[in-house]
Amino acid sequence: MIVLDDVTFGYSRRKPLYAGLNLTLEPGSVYGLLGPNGAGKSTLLRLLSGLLYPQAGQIRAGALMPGDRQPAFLEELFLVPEEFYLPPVRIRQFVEGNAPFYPHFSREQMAGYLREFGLTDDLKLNELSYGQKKKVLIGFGLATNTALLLMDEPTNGLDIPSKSQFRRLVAGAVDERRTVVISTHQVRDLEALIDPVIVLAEHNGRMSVALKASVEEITARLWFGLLPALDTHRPILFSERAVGGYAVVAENPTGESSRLDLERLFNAVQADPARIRSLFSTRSTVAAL
Amino acid sequence: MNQTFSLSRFGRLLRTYFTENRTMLLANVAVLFVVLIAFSFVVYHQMPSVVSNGRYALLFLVGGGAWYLFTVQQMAVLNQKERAISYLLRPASRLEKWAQFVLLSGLGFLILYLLVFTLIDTAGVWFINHRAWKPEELKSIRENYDNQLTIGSYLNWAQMSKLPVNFWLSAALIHPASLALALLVRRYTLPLLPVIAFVFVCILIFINKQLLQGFVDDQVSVSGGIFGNAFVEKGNDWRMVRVPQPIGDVIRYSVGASAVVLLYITAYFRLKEREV
Repeated sequence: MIVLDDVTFGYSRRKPLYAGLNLTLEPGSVYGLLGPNGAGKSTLLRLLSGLLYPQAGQIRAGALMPGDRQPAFLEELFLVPEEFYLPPVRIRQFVEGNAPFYPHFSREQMAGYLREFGLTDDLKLNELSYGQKKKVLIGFGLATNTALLLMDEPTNGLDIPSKSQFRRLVAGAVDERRTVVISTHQVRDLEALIDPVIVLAEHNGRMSVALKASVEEITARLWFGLLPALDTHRPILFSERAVGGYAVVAENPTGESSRLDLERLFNAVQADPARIRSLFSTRSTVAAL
Repeated sequence: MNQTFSLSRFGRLLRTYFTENRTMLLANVAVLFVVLIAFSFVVYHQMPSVVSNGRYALLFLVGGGAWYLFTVQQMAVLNQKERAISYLLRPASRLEKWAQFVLLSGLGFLILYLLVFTLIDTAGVWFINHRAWKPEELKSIRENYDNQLTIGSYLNWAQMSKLPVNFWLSAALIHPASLALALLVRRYTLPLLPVIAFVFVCILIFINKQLLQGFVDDQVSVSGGIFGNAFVEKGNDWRMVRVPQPIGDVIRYSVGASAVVLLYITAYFRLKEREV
């Protein structure tokens, strides 16, 4: 379990990005980390991986602290950054060189992922396109079977069929000991994959977790749908014009079932984070808010 | 497994480094070879006694420059965000990562450079010793160059011990100083480090002079040569200040060794604290 306890961090001491951030990540889930530009999604991933040190508070990954960068922690962590570096070697050499660092690495899985993405291990990494390189890195990250897998905008640069391949592969690689955190703007790409959802929003000039809830909790508390006209009786959180009426996110006091729309959920949270917070704060699972 | 240092993990780190950087390392060796050959072409075409001493300047100057460039090039990995992420997240301890830098850019470079230089010097010595001199050149050698027609290998301790102390001191400091400074200065590292080093030396000379002036309560002029003497002016009368021996050498070498150790420790802590 990963615990962020009262974490404060900022690139400038006078203007912290996060102050008193609390968050708990449980194993066995694919967390979707959403937030506006500059919200610090990538920063949060780097804090979780120990690349940045919190100015106050603590981050714990089980008994280990990411900031200590101990081999025991690093063996159980893999980060797929948005912008990454791959050495100018063949995929086979890259795997042979880096796989021994990860005790749970599966060469069979890696071979399968490469096959799935239409790549062969004799290809040179420096001759591949950005999307192909990303596929190699995603495949390698999944094959490491680390307890914590962090991905920053993993679908950027992937073509349309690769995005569905990505969803399928990630879903298949998650087990009860693994925590996957995916930071993304491409919510439509990952709608069917991420659960729970974490949404960052501004609160008193600092970024904080405005929502952390499972898809089930969200759809139990919110209703997503299309209305021919705006219904004044519904407690609407967000609405926008759509073909045939209005796409709406509203409170769901009756527990009416609906299908989660991540993009509109995100907009609803950004429009009124305080209301979302109070709506979800009654549940014990979102106590961290 | 030991979280501070594991030989198998360190070996893995080195293996991966050589696999991933083979092309760059080979290119570096090729450039070094070409540069050394180009300079050797000039140096080894002179009179034997000139070559005998002049090649040490080649050894130290080209070696110093190349060592500085190679060390900064290695540390540049940490100044590029994408490469730094990949490097810092590689499952190995901080000590192993620091030792990798120290070993490869330090001992690794030294061994390789001396091998290349020995190779070039062997060829140069053979060329000098088998050179067909023109009559006027022979006359000049007899009259101006102690009639020395042959030379031996540069690995001659008697000759090396006569080299200025500055050469040895620079050689001892260049690697730890480049390593530590490259981890301190993130931008414009390559051009900025010599400037910083120059300013630092100027400040050091100034402090040294002020200290001496305080001790002898007089006008002081410090010798340009490191480990040299200081001169105290009494009107127009110059007097030399010498620290008594052997305590003088003990102090000098202790200060030098401490500086080297402190620079390596600084590099370790800078690497430990590096954020991306």
